[in-house]
Amino acid sequence: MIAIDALCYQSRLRNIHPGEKMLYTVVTLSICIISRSILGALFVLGSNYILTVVIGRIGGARYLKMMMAPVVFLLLSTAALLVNVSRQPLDGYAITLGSFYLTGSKESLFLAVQLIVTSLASVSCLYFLSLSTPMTDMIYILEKIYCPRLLTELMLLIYRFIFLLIEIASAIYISQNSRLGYRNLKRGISSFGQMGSALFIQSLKKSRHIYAAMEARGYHGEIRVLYEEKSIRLKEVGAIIIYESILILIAKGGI
Amino acid sequence: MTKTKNLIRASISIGMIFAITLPVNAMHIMEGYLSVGFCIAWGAVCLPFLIAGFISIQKTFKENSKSITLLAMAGAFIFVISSLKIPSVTGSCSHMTGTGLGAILFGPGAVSVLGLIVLVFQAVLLAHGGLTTLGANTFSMAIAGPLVSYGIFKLCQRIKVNRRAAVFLAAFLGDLTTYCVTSIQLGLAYPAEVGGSVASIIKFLGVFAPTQLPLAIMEGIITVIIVIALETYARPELKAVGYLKEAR
Amino acid sequence: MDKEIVLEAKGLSCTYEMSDTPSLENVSLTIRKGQKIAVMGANGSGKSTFFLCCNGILKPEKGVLFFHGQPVDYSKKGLQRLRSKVGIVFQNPDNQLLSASVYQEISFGVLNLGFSKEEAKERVEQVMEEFSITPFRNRPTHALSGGEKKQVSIADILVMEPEVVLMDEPTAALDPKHTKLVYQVIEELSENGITVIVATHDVDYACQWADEIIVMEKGRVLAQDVPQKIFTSRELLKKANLEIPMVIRVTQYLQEADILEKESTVPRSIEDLEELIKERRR
Repeated sequence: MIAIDALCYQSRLRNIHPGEKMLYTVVTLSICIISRSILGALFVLGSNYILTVVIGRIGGARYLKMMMAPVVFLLLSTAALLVNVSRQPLDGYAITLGSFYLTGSKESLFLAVQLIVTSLASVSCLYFLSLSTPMTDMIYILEKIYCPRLLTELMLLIYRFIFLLIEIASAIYISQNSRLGYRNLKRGISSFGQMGSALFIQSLKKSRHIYAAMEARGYHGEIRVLYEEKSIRLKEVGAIIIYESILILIAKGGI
Repeated sequence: MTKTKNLIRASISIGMIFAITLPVNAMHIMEGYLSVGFCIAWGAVCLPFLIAGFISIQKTFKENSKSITLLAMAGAFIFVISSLKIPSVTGSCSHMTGTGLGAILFGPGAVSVLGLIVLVFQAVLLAHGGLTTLGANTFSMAIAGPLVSYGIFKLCQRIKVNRRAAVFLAAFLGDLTTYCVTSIQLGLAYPAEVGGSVASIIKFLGVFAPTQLPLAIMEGIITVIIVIALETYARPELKAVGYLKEAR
Repeated sequence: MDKEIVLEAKGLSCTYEMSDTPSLENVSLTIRKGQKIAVMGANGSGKSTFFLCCNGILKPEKGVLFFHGQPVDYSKKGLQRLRSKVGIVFQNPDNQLLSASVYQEISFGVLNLGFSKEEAKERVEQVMEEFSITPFRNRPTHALSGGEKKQVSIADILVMEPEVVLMDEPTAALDPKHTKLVYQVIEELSENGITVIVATHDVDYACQWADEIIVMEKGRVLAQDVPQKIFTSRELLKKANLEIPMVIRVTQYLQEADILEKESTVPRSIEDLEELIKERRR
C-alpha cells in the first residue's frame, strides 16, 4: 500500500479537472523556483496547506509528517552549503579550527534560508498534485499534451503492475520473516536478495499472463481506454489566474 | 591541501550524524532545490540519451508486441525494488536504486526510459525527488549510473572476470557514479564562496559519503545475490529478457 | 432437436512453450449453441490449455478447431473476429486487470471491438450498473477485494457481448456472497442464449447446473456426457480423480437401503432428490 496513492482517491479535490490541477502545480512550481522569493514561498506554503488539508480534507498531522519527508536531504545539503574551510573568517559565523576557520557568510546563510523555504514550498506543490490526483488522471493529461503513446501506455501498465508486485513482495517478505529470514544482517541480506529474484521471476510470469488476457480481449498494438471526463470550470481557471498573478506580485516584491 | 582535507573531514562528520539515525535514500535531488536554469539544462542533457533509449524500446516493441507487458513489468520491478527497505548496518531504513540491476538485466537503453518513468512515479507516489529536478535526477540515476553499470559489466564479461565480482563492481560503481554526478550537479549549482564549484562539489561528496558509500556496497551485494539466483534458477526467464543473448 | 454446433475440436494437440509433454493430446469434442458445459479434471489436465485454444491465444500443432463450422483463421483479422465472439474470464483476476481504473479496465475490450467512444461509454455504464459495480467504480483496482476484482474481470468480458463465454474456475478463492453472484451471472447468461463453458472442481455445482460434462485427464478427453452418466460411473470418476456429488452419494445409499427404488432417473440436485422422496412416500 502506498500512502499517497491511497489518500488521493479520498481527496475532496479529486473531481476537479486534472488539467487545472496540473496547470496550477506547474505554474506555481515555476514561479517558486524562478523567483526564489521567501515571501512568495511562504504564501505558497500557506495556500497549499489550505488547498490540501482544509479543502481536500487530508489529515493535518499526516500532511505535516509528509512535508518532513525530504528533511534529510535538506539538512545535509544545507550543511554542505553553509560550511566553508578558510584562513579568513567570513562575516556570517566563524569557528576556529587550528590554523583555519570553519566559517560561512551572511550571504550563504540567506541563500540557505531561501533554498529551504523555496524547496519546501515546491514540495507542497508536488503534494498538492499527488494528494488530489490519481496517476491515471495525470496520464490522461500527458496523453492530451501529445506525450508519446508508448510512454503513456507503459505508464498506465506500470502503475497497475506496481501494486501487483508490492503484493507479491509483501507476501514473500512475510513468509520469510515468519521463518526468521531477517533474524540478523547476514540472513536479512540473503533473504532480501532471494525475494528480489523470486519477485523478478513472478513478474515475468505475470507479464505473460496479462498479455494473453489483453490479446483475448482484442488487443492489437494499442492500449485504448476511456477516461471519465471531468468538466473544466471557468470559475476555477479564473481563480488560478488570479492566484498566480498575486504570487508573481509578491515574488517580485524582492524578498 | 590541508584546507581541502579539513573540508572533507568537516563534511563527513556532519554526514555521519545523520547516517546513524535517519532514513537513507539514494540521492534524489529534492523538489525545488535547483534553479530553473539548471533544471532546464540537465533536462536538455538527458534528451539525446532518452531519445536513443526510446527508439530502442520502440524497436523492441515492434519486433515483439508481447514486450509491452514485459517492459512495463521491468519498470514496475525497478520501482518496487527501490521502494523496499533493505536490512542495514545501523538499523535505519535504506533503499537501493535498482538501476544497476536494471542495467544488467535490461540494458541501458531500456533503463533510461524506464528510469525516467520510475523517477516520475517516485516523485509523485513517494515524494522522492521532484518534477523540477526530473532532468537532473534522470541524468544521474537513469543515464549515467546505468551506463557505467552496463559498461563495467560488459567489460568484466569480456576480460572473463568472475561473475559475482563483475555484478558487484557494476552495481557498486554505478551507484557511486550516481552519487558523484549528483554531487557535481549540486556543486555546480551552488559554488562555495571559498573555492568555487570544486570546493562545493567536495563538500557535497563529503556530506553524503557516510550514507551513500555503505548503501552502494549493500546494493552491490544484493544485486549479486539476485543475479546469481536468477542465473541458477531462471535461465529461461533471463533469456526472455535478452540478458543471455550475448555469448559469454 | 439438435442445436447448432458452435465450437468443435478435432484431434487438437498442443504443447506449452516450456514443457516437453503435450498439454493437449488428440482432443475432440463438440459444443452446441446455448449449452451449459462443465469441464472437469485435475490441475494440469489441460482445461486451461483448451480454453486458450478456443480463442486463438494458443495455436494447436495438430488438429483443427472449428467455430460455427469454419476452421479458425489465425490471421490478425480472423483472430479479432474470433475473440469478439469468444471470451475468456481468467481464473485469477490479477492476471487479467491491466488498469488501475475500473472504468478504463472495462472500456478496454469494447474499444478494441471498434465501437465509438460514445457507444463504448454507454455499454460500460450499462455493464457497471448490471453487475453492481457502480458502488466501487471510483476505487482503484488495487484497492478492491478479491470478489470485487472478480466482478470487474467478468464485466470486462461481458461488455464485449460474446456468444461463447469460457470461465476458468470462476469461484476459486471467492467468499460465499461472491460465489452466489457468479452463479447468478452464469444463470443469466444461459437465459440469454449464450453458450457457457465453465472449468470447475465443484462436482455438486457441475452436477446440478451443466447440460454436459467434459472430463479431462492428462491432456486427453476421457468422456463427454450428461451429468447422470458421468457421475454414476465409478471407474471414470476414479481415473479422473473426481469426487461423487453429494446428491448422488446420498441417492445411491438410499437405493441400497431400499428406501428408494433403483430408478433410472438420477437426481441432479437436492431439489430433485426431495421430489423423488416425496414421490416414493405417496
